[in-house]
Amino acid sequence: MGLSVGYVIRRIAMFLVVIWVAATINFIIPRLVPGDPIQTMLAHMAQTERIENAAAITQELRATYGLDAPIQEQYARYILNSFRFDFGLSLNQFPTKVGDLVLRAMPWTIGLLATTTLLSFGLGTLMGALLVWRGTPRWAQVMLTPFTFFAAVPYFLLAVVFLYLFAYVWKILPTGGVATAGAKAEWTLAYVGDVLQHFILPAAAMALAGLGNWMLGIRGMMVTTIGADYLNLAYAKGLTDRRIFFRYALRNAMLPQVTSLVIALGHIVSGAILIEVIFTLPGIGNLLYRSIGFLDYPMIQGITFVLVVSVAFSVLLLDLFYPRLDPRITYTRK
Amino acid sequence: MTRLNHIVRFLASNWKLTAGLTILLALILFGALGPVLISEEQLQLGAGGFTKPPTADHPLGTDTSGRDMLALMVYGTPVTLKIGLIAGLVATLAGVFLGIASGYLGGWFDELVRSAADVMMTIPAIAVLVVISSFTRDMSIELMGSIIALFAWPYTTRAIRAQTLSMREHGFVRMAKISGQSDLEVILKELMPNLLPYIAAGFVSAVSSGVLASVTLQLLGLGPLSKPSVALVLNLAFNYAALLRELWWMWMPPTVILIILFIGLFLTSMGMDEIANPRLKGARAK
Repeated sequence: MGLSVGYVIRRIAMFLVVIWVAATINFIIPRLVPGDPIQTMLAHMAQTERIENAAAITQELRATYGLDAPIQEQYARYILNSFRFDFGLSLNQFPTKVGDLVLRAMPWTIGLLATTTLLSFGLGTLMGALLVWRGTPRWAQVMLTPFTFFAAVPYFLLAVVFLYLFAYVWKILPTGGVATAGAKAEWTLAYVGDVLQHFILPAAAMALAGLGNWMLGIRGMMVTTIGADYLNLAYAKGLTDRRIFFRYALRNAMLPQVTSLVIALGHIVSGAILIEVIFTLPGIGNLLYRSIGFLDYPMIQGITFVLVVSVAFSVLLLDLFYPRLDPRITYTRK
Repeated sequence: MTRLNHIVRFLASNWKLTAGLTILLALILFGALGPVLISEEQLQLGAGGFTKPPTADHPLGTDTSGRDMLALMVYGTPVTLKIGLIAGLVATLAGVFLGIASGYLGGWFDELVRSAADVMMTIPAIAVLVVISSFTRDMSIELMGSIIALFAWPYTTRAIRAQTLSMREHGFVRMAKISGQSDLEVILKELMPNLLPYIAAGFVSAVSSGVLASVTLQLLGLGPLSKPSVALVLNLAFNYAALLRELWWMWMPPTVILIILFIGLFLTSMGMDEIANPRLKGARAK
């Protein structure tokens, strides 16, 4: 399948390097900042609420950062803990582990964002391809063009506008959260419907903002594909327009889109922090936002590390499977 | 005169670039001329009553700490633009230098630059930016721009490198080499003028992503806190649940300005792309 052992090893090494760099940045930055970060953290915590277990927290922090040990030992331990995804305890919800909180928030983020990413990828790719296809009726092209302009506006601004119009002015959709206050979280039709209703606005904002980018991406590739000889041959053979569009043009133009899709899926967690803030959804993004407000450093580091790993992992997958998708690419030599 | 004609005809042929640049210019003028009309004192806490809806004195009302909203917009717009410009400038300079050097020289240097760029592109900028800016609580505008550039240079470098690579094999470059020009002369006299459209396109997209990154960070409450920026004002509106409390004058002005800014950057970027890749122009079936 066009992969050499050397290539696979190099890609996996690259993946590990990226994670190592991210962990190292996490290690170095707190040490570059003047002042004792632990005292800063405690002072900040004292502002917002009374601290009764200051000694316990100080000890916990000293243990997390291993501040009494020599620097190289601190570093080694930190890297090792990072690879085991052990970032210690959250300061905001003190005795809870960072990893547990992240795991609890993860399903909401992935559920909402993976769905919207796939949705806008599918729709955007099809719409963008139709935009430049000569078989598309003129009126349809005129209708499709304005959607590309959604690529200009970042999703969070679109979200604010949507929230205002649909939830506050017209009052047809809920203003935020995942379910109506007081609703019992169980697998009933009513509850699931309630959650879905809460997901409409954030999903629409995310999907529309993404749509334009997918349309522009496929448009560029389609323009290149349309001039290809094999399309002319397909016409000469008398194949139907629909068949040529799907099987010959779109299929070939889509390859770079698939690349972008995999990368986009890796970025879903980091790319949508603000959507959860705006709609008060209990996912990773909102967790990060609250951690920043509280200067919950172990939490911030844990979450950003997850963001890095998820992107690096999707890039790794892509590099390993791309030769399968596109037989022209082989990595057997060099 | 002919030069002016030339420019006018060029702008007329590329409406996206014209519209984009006009929007950006309008925003720059808004920030440059506004201070003539509104004094900086309006930014002081409690300058005009707390959380007041628009009146004749305060056309856009005041925020929760009594600052005039219009003044915040006038003084905040240049801050947002400046962070993006610094990020774009640093990233473009690095991209031009590294891109040309690695594309033209090749060898181990090329290998090194490419690997570094690949690693950097895999790390989501926002993650590291959040860590950096949460530890350095109050950073300067310049520092924030430079930190953002740290994650933008791989893109400009890669684009410039690819162009250098394909240009290196062109006749005019070989010709210059044969006629005894030094590498530096070839780069400055032969490559640079031909790379200019790509450098300009790279600069615009670097500025766009710089603005996007800075706005995202500030909406999370990170970055320079001493100077009011449009995004920071919107962050404040989020914190005070301005939507829920129907304080529309607190969130609407920054949202509108940011939308205008992003549309301006988008159109400029699309227009630049049409120059750098003419094939995209009017890419629609005939």
